[in-house]
Formats: sequence, structure tokens, C-alpha cells
Amino acid sequence: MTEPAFFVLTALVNRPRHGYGIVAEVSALSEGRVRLKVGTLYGVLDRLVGDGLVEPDHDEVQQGRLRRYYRLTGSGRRSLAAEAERQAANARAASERLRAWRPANQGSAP
Amino acid sequence: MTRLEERYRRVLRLLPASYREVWEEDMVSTYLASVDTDDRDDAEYAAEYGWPGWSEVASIVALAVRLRVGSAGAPPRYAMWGEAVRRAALGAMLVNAAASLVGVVMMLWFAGLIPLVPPPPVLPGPPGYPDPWYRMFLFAGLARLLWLPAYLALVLGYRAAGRWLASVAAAAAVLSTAAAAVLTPDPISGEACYSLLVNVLLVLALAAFHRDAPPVVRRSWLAALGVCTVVATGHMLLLIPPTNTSPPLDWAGFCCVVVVGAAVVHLAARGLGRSGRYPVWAPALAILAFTTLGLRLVTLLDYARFRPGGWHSATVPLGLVEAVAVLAVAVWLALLSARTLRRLPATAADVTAWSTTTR
Repeated sequence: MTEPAFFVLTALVNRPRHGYGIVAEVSALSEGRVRLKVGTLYGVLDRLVGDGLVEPDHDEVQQGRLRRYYRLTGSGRRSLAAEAERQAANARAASERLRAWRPANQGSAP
Repeated sequence: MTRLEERYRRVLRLLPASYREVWEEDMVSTYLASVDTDDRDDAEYAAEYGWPGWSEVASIVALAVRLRVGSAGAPPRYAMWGEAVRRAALGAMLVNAAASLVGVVMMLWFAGLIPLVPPPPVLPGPPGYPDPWYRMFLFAGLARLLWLPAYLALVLGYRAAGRWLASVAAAAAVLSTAAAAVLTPDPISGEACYSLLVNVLLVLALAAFHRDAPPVVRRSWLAALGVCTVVATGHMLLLIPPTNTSPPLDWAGFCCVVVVGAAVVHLAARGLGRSGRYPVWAPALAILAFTTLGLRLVTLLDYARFRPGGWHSATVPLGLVEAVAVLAVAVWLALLSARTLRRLPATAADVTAWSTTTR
């Protein structure tokens, strides 16, 4: 699962969001590190909808413009949970190695 | 509709029409929301004079390329198109690689380095360029041999290396042709210019060998290199002194025969129902057929432009027949491809419905 797909699924966990809502939420979740461009977002959404992980929820008209909201499916929730668990396991493994590692000269006098 | 929206919709036209049908309104809505601002003056100014930023345009271009060359998860229509582009590119690389291998064999032959085979009696001399430039042309000729390792790298899975080697080979050809155009009185043939164009497009088409593309079937393509080299060597030997009489079938004619033969085999296989679920060879051969048709027409124009030449008297009439034959198979393959592609879903969101109806 790519990083943008991971963040898009995460953005939809608590409630349905429209396109710009997803962009804003992903930016907040990643503390500004991931700023989805529209082409990137809809490339990801097209795949996620095709894979059955996301589906359209409802449409709203705001300022004369149609806004489509998307929600996570049950399959999308399970996929995200599995991916989050995988990434957490990777992070734990790396953290344990880093904690166990000590430079050869650590503690010696300069 | 504001001017900014018009401009953004114009950028979206890069995307396939079927994709836009599903996503365009939503994309426009999201884009306009992303550039909206609370300051009314700024908002009005942006609506009238604003342009989509380069990063936004780049994301649309990347999406358009990804959709059209079928990266991972691409809908079947574009997955098939991407595979067709890869096969056509490999076919063109195969020809270049075989020509490189033939070039190596010929260089060894001229140098008398092939055991038991005497060198030709008349060795080709320098073409009359000043010595430093002649050395440069020799260097460019050697750089063109890079098509062989480029092809092998692609087939064996070293895709980045294959792209770089192909880029260097194409760039060397462009530079040497440009230098020849400037430094020598001889006019540059249309065939030389067309070959450069094809090679540049070929290098661009290698973008279809992205990380998500399925691996190349090594055994088949390596065997094809062997066969193609043997056949091309046989054809080249007919052009070498001392016989020095050009065969009626020139290089473009040879390519026409190969493409028409491959098309006939494919169409016969389709007739026997052996084309598989995705008959991807039809669009791949259509691309190669149109490319070969261009080569045939350009070389015929060269014959008219550089008359009288040292070619066989039957070459031009035969060339006209070859052009008609290649045009016929190219159009036939294109129609078959269009029919097949139209039946396949063009958006990922359509795939579920398509899978249900075809199950």
C-alpha cells in the first residue's frame, strides 16, 4: 500500500469526506508532510474504489458545486488495520534494534 | 465558469475521456476548493487571472501517463494498452539490438577477425570527413551499439539501466546526424531523420517499463534476438561487396515483410481462437506496422529525391506493393485493437461491473 493510499484510508476512518476534505485531513494527519495534489488524490481514489476499499457515500451541493463524499468500506477498514499493524511491527523492529545498538566507543573518555 | 476553471478543465483533457466522465466534476470541485481563499479580492483575481500551478499540472500529467501505460491497478483497457506499448517498444529495441549485433559481426569481418572467413576484398574507406570528425562518427557508431546491452538490460529486468543505455544510444545518433548535416555537403536522407524520430519516441516509450509493469518473458525475447540477428545478418551480407548489387528488398522492405508476416501469423491465430483473453499483440503490431509504414514511405521519397541511385530496379515498384500491404494490415490491426479496447473497462470503478457481466 502506497503512502498516499494509506493516508487517504486513514482520513476516512472516522467519517465520510469529500475530495478537498481528504486533502486537508491528510495534510493534518501527516503534520503537513504529505500534501496531496488533485491528480494524485484521484489516482489513489480510483484505485481504492476499484479495489472496493472506498465507496461513494452521498453528494452535496455547496456554492452551486457538487461535492461527492467517500467512505471507507468494511474491506477498506480491514486492509488499513492490516497495513497499520504491518507498519507498527516494522517500526517496533527498527526501534528495538536502535535501542540495542551502542557505538563501539560509547562511554569512553574523549 | 471562471477562467481558472476553464484552464483547469483544459489540463484535465490530458486524461482519457472515459476517466473524465467519472471523475472530472469531482476533480474540478476539489481543485477549486483547494485554491479558494477568504480574501474576496484575491479570490476574484485568481478566478480571472490564475493558472493551475506546475505541481498540479504535473500530478495530472503523471496520472494521465499512469492511466495510459497501465501501471499497477490500472483498469484493463489501459493495462492492455500499456502492455501493447511495452511489446511494441521491445520489438523496436529488438531490431536495433539485432542491428548492433550485426554491426559487431561486420566490424570483426572487415577486420579479418572471424576465423575461417576471409575479410571482404574491398574495405570501406573513410567517407572523406576531416579526421577528427571521422573519429567522432566512428565513436557515434560505437555508441549505437549500446542498443544491444539496452535491450538485454530490459529483457533481464534491469529497467533503469536499459532506459539509460537506450537514451545514450539515441542521443549519440542525434548528435552524429546533426554534425553530419552541418559539416558535410551530403544531404541527410529522410530515412536517417525518421530513424532518429523513431528512436527518440522509443526512448520515451520505455517509460512504460515502470516498476509495476510485469516482467518480460526472457526466453522468448532472447530467442527472438538470436533469430532476428541471423536473419538480419543474411540480409546485410547481400548488400556487401564484392557483389555490390543491392537486393530488390531493401532494409525498409525487409521490415515490411517481417511486420506483415507477424501480422498474418497473429490474425491466423485469432482465427483459430488462440489469441488469449487479452489479444495484446494486435495493438502492439498495429504500432509497429504504422511505424514501418512510415519508414517505407520515407525511403520511397528518398529514392525519388536522390535519383539516380544504386538500388535495384525492382526496389521502388516492390516498395509500393509493400507500402500497400503494410497499410492494409496496419488498418486491420488498428480496427481490431480499437474494438477490443472499447470492450474493456476504462476506469477502476467500472471493473467490478465488467467482471460481473463477463463472469
